[in-house]
Amino acid sequence: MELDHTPQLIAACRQGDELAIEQLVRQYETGVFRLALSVLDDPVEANEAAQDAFISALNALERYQDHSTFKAWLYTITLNTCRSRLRKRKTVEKLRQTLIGIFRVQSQKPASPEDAIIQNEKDATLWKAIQSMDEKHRLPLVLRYYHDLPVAEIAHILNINEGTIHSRLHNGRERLRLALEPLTGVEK
Amino acid sequence: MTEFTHQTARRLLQTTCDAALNPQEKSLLTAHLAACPDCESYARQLDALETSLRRLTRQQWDGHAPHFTAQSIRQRAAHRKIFPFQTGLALKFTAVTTLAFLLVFALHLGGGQPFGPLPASVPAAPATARPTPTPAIRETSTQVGQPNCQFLTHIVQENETLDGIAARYGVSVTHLMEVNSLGTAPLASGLALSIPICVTPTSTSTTTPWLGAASPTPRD
Repeated sequence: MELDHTPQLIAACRQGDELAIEQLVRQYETGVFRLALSVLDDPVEANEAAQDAFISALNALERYQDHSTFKAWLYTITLNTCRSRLRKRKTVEKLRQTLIGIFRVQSQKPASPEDAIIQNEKDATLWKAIQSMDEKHRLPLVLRYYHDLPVAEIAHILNINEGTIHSRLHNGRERLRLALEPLTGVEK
Repeated sequence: MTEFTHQTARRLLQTTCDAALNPQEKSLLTAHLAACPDCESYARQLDALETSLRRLTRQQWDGHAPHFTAQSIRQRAAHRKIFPFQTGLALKFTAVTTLAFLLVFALHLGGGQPFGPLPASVPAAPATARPTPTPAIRETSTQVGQPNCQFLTHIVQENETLDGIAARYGVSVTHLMEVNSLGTAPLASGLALSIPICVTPTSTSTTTPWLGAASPTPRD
């Protein structure tokens, strides 16, 4: 929720007030980090991306206009930062696969700590389905169910119209439901 | 009145996940669900899915907390300003340079033949050959971790070409393109280019406030 004193805080940040910048970072660090984490699914990279998002936002603060909420604006910047990291990640992954092909190295990706947390089959299947989902369906679902954002706000952050968000949420849920369907009734 | 099909019921069930139905849709849906076990089962699956999505994402991500402060962000910004390379470019550059050195080393060991002048990997611009900075050239930073390199900023003037600028500073066009992430598009006048000049440093570094990075006006 947007706090009343945010406009004053932003004005002070624009003047280069170090204390105001610290306060602004403290106020939004968790939200920005969690958003980055939910997109990148890697805490280390999420910390880096969140810091990069703050750098971009603070450098572009002059261009921020009050007609959108600061949180939505900051989240849009964070998402763009994360997307660029996802693109780089794809390139690195391709390079890794090529190197494996060339040197015939048996490379094992370290098991993520999350893998250990998921114990039951349904959750494991659901998590796998979420992770393998394409970005355009995954992001609205994450924003809707993890960040509890209404459709209008998701549309604003992703800069897509509300109808498209409704449709992507619908399709995303349907895909996940179908992925879980074979397991329905297995675990009571 | 149009027929209320299973498909309509499922579409409305999906809609209820994100928005409210109007009273008429709501009553039609309730009546349909009471009479249709399949759609009733679909509704339960959707409900369970929503609950699982909320629980699972929280379970995965809520345990992590941010590990940075305004101070660390400032340091990161300062580092990025000094090292304007993109990670990918820096990796490629390091890989190519390392391979080139290895190749040169291997050839040198194997053949024992003296080499001619090395290809442009070692810029040999002597300090005296550095052009006198014009009003368009500002020194933005010194000391970049490699103590012998400085970055100058060159503002592109009308009709200037990358080749001309590279020749003027004694750097290679490729290096200039890498440092500035340039594509093949022609240079726009007014564009600020970072020029890497490797010389013995003569002055201490000047740090620029990181919030000032967005400032379009230079402080001379």
